[in-house]
Amino acid sequence: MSMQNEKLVIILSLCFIFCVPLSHAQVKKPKRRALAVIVNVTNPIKGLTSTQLRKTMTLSVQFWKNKKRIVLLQRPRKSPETRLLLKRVYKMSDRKLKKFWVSQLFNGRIPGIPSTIRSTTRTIHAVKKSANAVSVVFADEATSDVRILRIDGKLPGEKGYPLILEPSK
Amino acid sequence: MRRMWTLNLPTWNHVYWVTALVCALGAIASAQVTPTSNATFEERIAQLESANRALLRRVSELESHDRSKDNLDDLVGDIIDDLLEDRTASASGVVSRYSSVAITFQYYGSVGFQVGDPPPTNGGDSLFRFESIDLFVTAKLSPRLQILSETILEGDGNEVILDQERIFGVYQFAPEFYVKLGIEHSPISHWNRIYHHGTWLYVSVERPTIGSFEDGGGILPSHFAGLEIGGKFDLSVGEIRYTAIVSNGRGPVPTNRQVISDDNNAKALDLALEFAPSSAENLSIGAAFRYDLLPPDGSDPARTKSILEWIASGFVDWRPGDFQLIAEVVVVDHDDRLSGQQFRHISGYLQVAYSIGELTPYVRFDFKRMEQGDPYFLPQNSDLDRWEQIIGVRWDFEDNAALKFEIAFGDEELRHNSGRISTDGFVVFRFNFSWYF
Repeated sequence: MSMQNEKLVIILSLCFIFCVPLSHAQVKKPKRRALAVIVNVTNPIKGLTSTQLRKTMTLSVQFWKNKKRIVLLQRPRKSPETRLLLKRVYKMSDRKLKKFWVSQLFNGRIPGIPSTIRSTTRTIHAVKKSANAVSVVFADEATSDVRILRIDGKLPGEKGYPLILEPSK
Repeated sequence: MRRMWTLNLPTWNHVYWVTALVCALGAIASAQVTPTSNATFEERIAQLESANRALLRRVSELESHDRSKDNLDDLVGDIIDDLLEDRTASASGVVSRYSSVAITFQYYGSVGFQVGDPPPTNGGDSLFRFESIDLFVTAKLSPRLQILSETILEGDGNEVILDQERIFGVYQFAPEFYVKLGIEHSPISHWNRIYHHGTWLYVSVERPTIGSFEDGGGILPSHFAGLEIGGKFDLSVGEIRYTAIVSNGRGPVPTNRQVISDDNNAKALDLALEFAPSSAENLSIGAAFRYDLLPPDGSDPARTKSILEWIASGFVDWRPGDFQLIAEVVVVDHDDRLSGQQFRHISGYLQVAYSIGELTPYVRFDFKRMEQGDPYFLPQNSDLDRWEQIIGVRWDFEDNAALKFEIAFGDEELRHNSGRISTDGFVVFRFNFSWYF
């Protein structure tokens, strides 16, 4: 093999090696994700306004319209779901939310601090099993076992849906 | 014959071939990890999805096998398991569950230091002090029935005493209506109703005059033993909350809370209304009224007849973002049936705070303007004026613990042994460490 052919082989090999991760990087392009508010399929409620959502998530409202007590299931503190809720719904820091729950409990305004479920699968499972539960998961992870609520009349994916996680730059 | 090994230095030819070989191996390795075609990739995804579905089915089967009924109470154990896996997930204290009963235990503590002029004690200019331990427990016995108890260990002179501050059961029929029976803090003081005895919960070291308890020189009936009904209505303009209470009322002296006995037949009546408008973030305003007939005190010749008491109070509580404003004013009217004299006392405060990260600087203006000689307050010298300003800062150095520093200064009336009343200035520096878990 001539010297020129050898160089060609090396250059082509290197190009191939570098192209593989580049092609992967293109696949993992960040995208916007919508957070879905989910309830049990037997819950007659179809949607909430932003104000109603805040009241539900803070347990300022503790009963559904059918007079059943709301069972709020939180997501972990540092999860992207909770970070989005803190920004768009709670409008407070993580620390303030924690203090808020302690204060509500101490005042006797809530019977217990809402439980936290770590995995999305278990969250969906819990909402599927509990007629009065409400929680959040990313819309692309929600299954047909639960109902996704409209927020301000919009479903995740529709223009103007308020609970959108923008890709980090 | 001995074989001689020779070292051949690599030529450029060798370098090229070795490099090419390494690159080719790398490419092959990458190709093995990464699907080479879309079809293979999709097949693999389909396989994984199928496996995932099978796993989910199996988990579901196993979980349903262990349960006789499908409701959240059965899921509670799983949820708590999740909670325990992620201990930072919630601020719930110690949570215990059995059957459908969920119990939460919390422990609040507070210790401090203060130095001032005049000295805080008879002997020295400064003192370290144990302030309180607050043992809090609440239990959800059913979706609508809740029990709550708050027991305090606090200093009384140089001793530590145990005090049952709150204990009640509340049944929530609907958002618009609940019934509560037991010992609770009166809504006549908004401060007491939101912070109770939890030092960690409020920004400052000391409570304002309106928030002072009966055994701490407070002029209001902070506690009641009785029956409370209340609820809230969600209207388009905002939320309206109401509270109505019938209770034993105050005892013959301000420190007698009458939570175990009742010295007269008359009951105290409380009515409180609160409005949280939809148009303003975290704003609530409210008013409360109270009627009571204070029983005579047989040990005091100036208190041989009852005193008619009317109290009216109002508050504004506004907390948009990191800003916090609380203001309260209260008017206490006493009609002494022995002397026929009427006394009107007014007290109030305004507290403003702003959180910057972990630090929360705050200021408070607090006043108590009393008509002297009220036979109900006179024995405790509570019928004297006081004006106080506080500047302080709270440092939340941990999620569950805070350090607070404040300087308070102002003027207060003092009654001397001769009966003469003078107005003196005071300044005091307070430091507090409070926590909960």
